[in-house]
Amino acid sequence: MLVIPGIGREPYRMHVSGWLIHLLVRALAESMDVRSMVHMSRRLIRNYDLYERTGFSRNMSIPNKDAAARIVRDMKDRELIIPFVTLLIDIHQKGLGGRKYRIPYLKEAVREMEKAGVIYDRNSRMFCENPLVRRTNNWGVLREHEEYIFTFLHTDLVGNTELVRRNPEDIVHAAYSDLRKIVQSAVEKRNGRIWNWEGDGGLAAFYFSNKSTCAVLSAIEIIHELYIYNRISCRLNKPLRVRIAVHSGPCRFRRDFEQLESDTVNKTIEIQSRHTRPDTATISDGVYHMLDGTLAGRMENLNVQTSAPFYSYKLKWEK
Amino acid sequence: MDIYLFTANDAVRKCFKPISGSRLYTLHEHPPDELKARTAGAGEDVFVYLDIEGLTHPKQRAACRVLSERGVRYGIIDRTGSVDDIPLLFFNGASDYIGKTLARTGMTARRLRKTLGYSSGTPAERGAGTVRTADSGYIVSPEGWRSIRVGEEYTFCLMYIELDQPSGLRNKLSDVQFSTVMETFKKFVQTSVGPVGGKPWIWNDFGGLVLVPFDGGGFGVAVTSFRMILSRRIFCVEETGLDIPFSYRIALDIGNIVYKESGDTGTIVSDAINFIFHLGKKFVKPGNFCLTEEVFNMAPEGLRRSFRPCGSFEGKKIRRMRLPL
Repeated sequence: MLVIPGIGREPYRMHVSGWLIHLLVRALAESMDVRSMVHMSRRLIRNYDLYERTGFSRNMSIPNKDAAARIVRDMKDRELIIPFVTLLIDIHQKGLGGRKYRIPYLKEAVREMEKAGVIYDRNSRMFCENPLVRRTNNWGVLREHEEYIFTFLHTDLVGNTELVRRNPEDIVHAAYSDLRKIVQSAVEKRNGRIWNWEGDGGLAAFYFSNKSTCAVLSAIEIIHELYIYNRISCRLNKPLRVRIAVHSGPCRFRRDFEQLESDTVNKTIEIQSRHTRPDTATISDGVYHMLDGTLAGRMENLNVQTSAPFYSYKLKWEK
Repeated sequence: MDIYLFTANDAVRKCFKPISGSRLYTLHEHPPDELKARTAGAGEDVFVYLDIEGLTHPKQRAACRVLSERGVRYGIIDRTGSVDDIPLLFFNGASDYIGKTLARTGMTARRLRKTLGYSSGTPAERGAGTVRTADSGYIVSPEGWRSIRVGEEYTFCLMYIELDQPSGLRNKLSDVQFSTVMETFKKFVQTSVGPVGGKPWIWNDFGGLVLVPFDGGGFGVAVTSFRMILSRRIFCVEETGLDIPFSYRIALDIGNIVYKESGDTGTIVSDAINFIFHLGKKFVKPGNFCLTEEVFNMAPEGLRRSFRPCGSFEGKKIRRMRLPL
């Protein structure tokens, strides 16, 4: 069965307006025949029986508009409007069963959905929650246990033990809080999510847009902001220093971070702890190759003895 | 009002006991070695008393320097009378001196009120980040843009910013791409200077002049400019969406201007505006960030280390930011 992105066991409860329903009914009715509509609906609802749903006799043909209205209403009742629109966009772009379809009113429907707090991400061809409205660990759409390709960013504070020993407790806590604010701002600005934070560091995940670029830009911004923070507002007796690693790979999504078991996450943490110097960000080979030339040109090959090379970003100054 | 008392001496703590009972002041006692950490980011509502007993002369001087540079108001407690030149403490930025006698009789809330009144009257002498209006000729706007009226003269932080080599860009990009980059750049400037109260005022295709009302406090736009130079590559990749390296130059100065609405600036005759445009266009090299000595002295102390003298321009000393590679 085709996996339709956006179908969740805990679907995002979007408010579906009457106008959106109207647009979707027209979009469906004006773009395909009833047979295709049923074929399409069965991708979302197994064994969908339109005759049973509409009450029409099986020897009668169902008018397009009635069929479309019933299907859209059923999708709404089962909270499948987001995957339904995702599927419509997919069919509009790629066709269905080898046939091309031009589906009208999609732009208007997407705009209407934006008002309800979901946005369409062209890179992943999925809807996700609008970060300005709501921020959840699964972007409102990722399914529990389902495997996705994420880019992870792991941050860890350097010399935490010494920092705790040499500074008053409240100042250390304030510094932790400042660090978290810096990381959170850099990550969430680029639609990433902090999945776990343990006081002196944590793990952030990126899934939408150009995730590798977003993660690397976040890492760079964290290094820059910490530089300014250390110069202007750090209250510790030594500057706050971090090690950052960025790595990409598959991971089964778990809402509860404690239950997350992922080689990609483990690898990210290993890159951070074994191959990253203080005040730098280390980027794995897979992430490096996803970067634009301008950004990739700023990375330095670490020449470590591993199967794949690692690249590093460090803030360097002219002499 | 928070009173920070840095001492390791019980007799001094006893001397400040009347203050701890006051409803007007909150007394915080800390060991002297936490002075640097505790006073970072301390604002107007903090007054520091430092007990210098047990500190060597170099350590005393270093502590006073830190407090002065941070603009923190402070007093010295000298229970043993070890300071030879007491007036020198005041010349260096101290606002109070508690000698042998007072340390014995004890501090009172009334005396503390007088000290605070005295110290708040001389902000310029307390170090960087604040300016005395009467002496400097600055016309401050304490409430930012809300204080500004058209046709009146005010002191503004002036930021000149311009994309480098626009003609080269025009050749590399299509017309649509070029206009998108210019719009994106203006938006980037607006977003960056917005949090410090900055507004693009005179703007041409490739850059222009940003005004920030001067509130007599720190020079936040210097930090913003510093950040913009640091993040120029992020701008190229993230904002423009084009894999082309862009660079921009920034110049900062402070000066008085008779304010007019943006778009109605054609008839303004102003030395400050002429100077900042000349500085930005003729002196600052592509990709660089320069500021005048006057601005440099108001910039946060931690950032000043990143600026080097680079000569004079039209009679003003200029400093240039050491660039990130």
